[in-house]
Amino acid sequence: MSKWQDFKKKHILLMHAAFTIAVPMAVWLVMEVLNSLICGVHTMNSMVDWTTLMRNLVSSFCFALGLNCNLPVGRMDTSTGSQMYLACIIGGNVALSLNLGGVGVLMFSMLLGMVAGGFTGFLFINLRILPMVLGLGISLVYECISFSVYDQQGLSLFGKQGVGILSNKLFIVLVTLLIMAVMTYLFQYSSFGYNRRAIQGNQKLANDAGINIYRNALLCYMTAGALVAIAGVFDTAYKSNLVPVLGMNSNSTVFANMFPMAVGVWLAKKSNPVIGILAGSLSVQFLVLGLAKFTNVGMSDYLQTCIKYSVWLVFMIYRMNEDKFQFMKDKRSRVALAKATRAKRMAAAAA
Amino acid sequence: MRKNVLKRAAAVVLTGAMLLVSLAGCGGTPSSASASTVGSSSATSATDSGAPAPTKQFVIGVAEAQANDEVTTRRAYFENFIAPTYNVKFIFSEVLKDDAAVKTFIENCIDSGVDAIIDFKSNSAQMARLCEENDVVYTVQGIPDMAPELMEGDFPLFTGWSGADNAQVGNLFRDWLEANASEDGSEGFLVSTSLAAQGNVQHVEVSRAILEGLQEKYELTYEKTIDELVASSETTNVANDKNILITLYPGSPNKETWLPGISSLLQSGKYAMFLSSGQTYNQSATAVNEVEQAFGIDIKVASIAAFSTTLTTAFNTQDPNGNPSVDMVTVKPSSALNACLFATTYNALNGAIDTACRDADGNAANYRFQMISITSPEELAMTEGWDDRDTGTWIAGKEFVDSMLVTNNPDITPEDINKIMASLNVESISAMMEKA
Amino acid sequence: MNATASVKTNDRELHLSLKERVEVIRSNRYFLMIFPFAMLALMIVIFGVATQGRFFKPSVLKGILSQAIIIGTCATGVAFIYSNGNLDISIGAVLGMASTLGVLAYNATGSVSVFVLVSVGTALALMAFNCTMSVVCHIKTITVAIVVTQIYGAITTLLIGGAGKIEIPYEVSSGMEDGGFRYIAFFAYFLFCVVIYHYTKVGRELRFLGGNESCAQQTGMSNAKATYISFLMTGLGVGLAAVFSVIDVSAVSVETGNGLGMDVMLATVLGGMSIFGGARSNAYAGLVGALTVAALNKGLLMVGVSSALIQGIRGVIFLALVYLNSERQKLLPSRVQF
Repeated sequence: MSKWQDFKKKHILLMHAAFTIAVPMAVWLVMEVLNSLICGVHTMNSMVDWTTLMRNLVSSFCFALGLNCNLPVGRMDTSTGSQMYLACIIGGNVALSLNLGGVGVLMFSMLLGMVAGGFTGFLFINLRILPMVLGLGISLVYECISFSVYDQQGLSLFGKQGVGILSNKLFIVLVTLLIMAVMTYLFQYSSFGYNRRAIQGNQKLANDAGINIYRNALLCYMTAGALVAIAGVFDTAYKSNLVPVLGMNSNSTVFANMFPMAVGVWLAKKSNPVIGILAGSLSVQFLVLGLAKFTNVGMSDYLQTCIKYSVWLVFMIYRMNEDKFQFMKDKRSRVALAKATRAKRMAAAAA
Repeated sequence: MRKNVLKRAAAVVLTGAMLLVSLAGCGGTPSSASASTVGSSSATSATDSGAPAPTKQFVIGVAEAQANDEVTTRRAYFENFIAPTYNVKFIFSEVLKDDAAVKTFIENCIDSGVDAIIDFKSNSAQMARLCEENDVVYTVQGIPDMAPELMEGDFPLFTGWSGADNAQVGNLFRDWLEANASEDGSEGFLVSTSLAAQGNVQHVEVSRAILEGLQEKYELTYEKTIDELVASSETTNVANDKNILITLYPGSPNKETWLPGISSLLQSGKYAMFLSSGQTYNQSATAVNEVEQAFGIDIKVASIAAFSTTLTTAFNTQDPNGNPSVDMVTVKPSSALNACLFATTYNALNGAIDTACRDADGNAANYRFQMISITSPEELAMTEGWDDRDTGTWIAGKEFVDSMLVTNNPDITPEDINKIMASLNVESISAMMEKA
Repeated sequence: MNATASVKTNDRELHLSLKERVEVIRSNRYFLMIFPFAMLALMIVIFGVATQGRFFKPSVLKGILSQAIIIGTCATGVAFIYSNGNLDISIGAVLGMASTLGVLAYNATGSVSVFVLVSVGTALALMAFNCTMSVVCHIKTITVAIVVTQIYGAITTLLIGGAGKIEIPYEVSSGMEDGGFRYIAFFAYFLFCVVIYHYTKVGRELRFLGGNESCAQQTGMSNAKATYISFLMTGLGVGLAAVFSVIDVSAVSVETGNGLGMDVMLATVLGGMSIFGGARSNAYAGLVGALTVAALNKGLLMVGVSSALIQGIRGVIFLALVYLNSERQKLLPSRVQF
């Protein structure tokens, strides 16, 4: 075994940490080089970009984490986007009417998110409809409610007192760390997390072993609802308002956040789902911000969309065939070793 | 056992039927005219003068393109004022995403027995034809030259177009630029054309108006035509003979790439003016403020708007330079536009389409309305209560609407209506509101 | 009403509660076949009564069929994909791009045949690409669908350009409409799909693979071949639907096909088919579901339901119908899709 492989084996945690950090750094480096060469600007040009990155990162991270509550367990909840709209619009407006500022908006939205997610979970447990199908119906209803309330105005944080804190970098960091801590505990060290992973393995076996799969499902839905509500609040803080949508258009938010979730789940093999998804979200945000810089040279947002999703496609091709690539790589090295050994023996025999 | 099972099945089915009936029956818009059947002769009150409302109830379908302040105001105006005053019932659509959805809505309205359609989405000869085949009057918000087939075709029940007076809107922007832009245009102009590249009528009109305003102010000659520029779906630097930096940025704020793109362009430091053809002043506010703060630039923002609390907040919120977060808005007197559309439709329904909806050359009428510019919190304060859906105070009150109707003015022509619309400005509206 | 009843069997009495008897009805194999049709008929009757007979007019019923044709065509085709246990929500974007290229081809050549062939060919090619990503690159079909929806949509927008829409002459589309092209093509395609699905080996294999993939593969069925067939059958339907959508409004716009994937899924589920396939799948569920949605939309508008509430009511009715129509599982339903 070479020295490098020996080092890797001895410092496995360090190697995993380095891998988890290396991927977003690599994305940043590629975008930085392209932006500098082609656009003449840096990817992160100023504090504005850092604020935007942090706000979008926490939003994307929370949404992806929310999706991760249910997706690995075989529940693709397409109503998550509509839960976000409902929670933020009602919770946010209630908080603003009570003059509770940005923190109030966050807390109330989170609370409503838990209620909205919990109701969806309650229906799922009792009606036993396929999650994707249930999600379609719930999306229709939640979108209608969030559209009809507050005179179709949605949630506007523009010019409201006390909401500036939602763009405060320190606050964003604190919220992110708190979410990481809570979710790491929930997913990795709590009975909820153990049960969830057991159900992910085999639902029937978990049920037979005495795990209450129904309560676990309900808690997953509530947690997801709370997380997407937090995501919605920070997203609204960036865009100044959240306009309600109809026609199941809220699903587009769900699908857009599957990219960071997919990258995060892949990175999670070297750490844990929470850190993995954070790193995945960071990677995607660097990509998006980097592509935005190409606006300066006339690239349309349609082309930017094409590029972003093409990168996702290539990533998925790699991820789903990683073991085959590894197999081919190992095969090549075995063949090379065999050839080298054979050549040595023939040389020895000739000698 | 089988009989019992079947009995129970029948019970379940009937229960479901009752549920559906009760759901179907619990709808209806409470504030629309009280008569629930088409063509009913029941009269409704709620007219200011106390005279009985006209006896024939017309049903008008309204095809909406989006959901925003303006649409909410329109709905309130139509349902709470026009409907009871003129004995009209309105059927509003959901947000219609394309021509096929508009066609479906119109077909459903025809089956419901509507007499007319007001179309804010389509501006298409296809819809005019559909209405024609079913004896339904058709009115659109739009520009004639965006629908040549509609303009040149023969559609006896098509009443005409209503839209912004481009030249006047251009003048508003030009006047504001005269007072606020530099003599040499060195500050750089970023123009958000919104969905003009996807054919959104309002965005096309206002984008054109902005480019015409800049052209007039600086006496520019553009290398491409304004129509070509506005139709571009890519970020475009407008080539001109004086090399003034004017950049067109298309896209909707709903797209995730829109705001990062705006922020990126503003951060280049090349733009001190941000002009928008859509109602984006609130969505871009945070990004603009952050750039102003980080780079010490004063970016002036001009946009389209509607009377709303959002607009009031925008003028009363200061940016890092101590100025209002929006510097100029052009506002549609929404009730006036809607009154014009209603009047032309109502005149056609009362049999006066050939006189009241045709110009001197026999073409469908082309109504243009004036927009109002607001450049300070004080000017906005003057407009307090205008088109307020909460209090029901409308710029286009009964007197204004009556002046455009054949039922009060049998000899009215499109030219007369255009004169009435052109008379609207801040002073005349203030006088009207005081009188009311 | 008694909640329970005694039922005599050969040797002993069975006491069944109301809930149990409802379950007995629901688990009857004919119930799932009949229920969607019964609900559609019931809905028409209810709306007919609520609109004092206006809903029964031939023009109204014809309008329902006309409005349901595009979703019905796509849903009939997509039944093949669902039966196989796959999911594809990119058909809206595929339809948009197929109709765009079809219209561009027409405007370049002036030939209706070219227009139809290019539309159908484009849809087949795009669905084949989606399938290849899944079969060869082993990416879940839902992931491919999410990605290509954005990519195809962006390409369509770039192709259509600044006008926001491109048109064909009204005479062409009205000629095709008056000639009954839409109905003839739709019914021919529908019959073709029903025959293939229910009366040939292809359909049986698809349902077997959707029900139990391992078992089916061990009997010698090829999942890759079946997946390709299912996607190509869908591509044919989506291509025809693209032609129908252009005929409908004589144009294609950047928004054509937006949200169609979810609408088709909604229609399929309302028509009584599970989107995860299996033995109980059928080829007509999509059409029944599309007719149900069109009837619901028209009926709610005709009885005067506010537009702000129509969607919410649609959602509640959807959930109620799906609940009544679905088999209640002992544990929680789940399917790893990512």
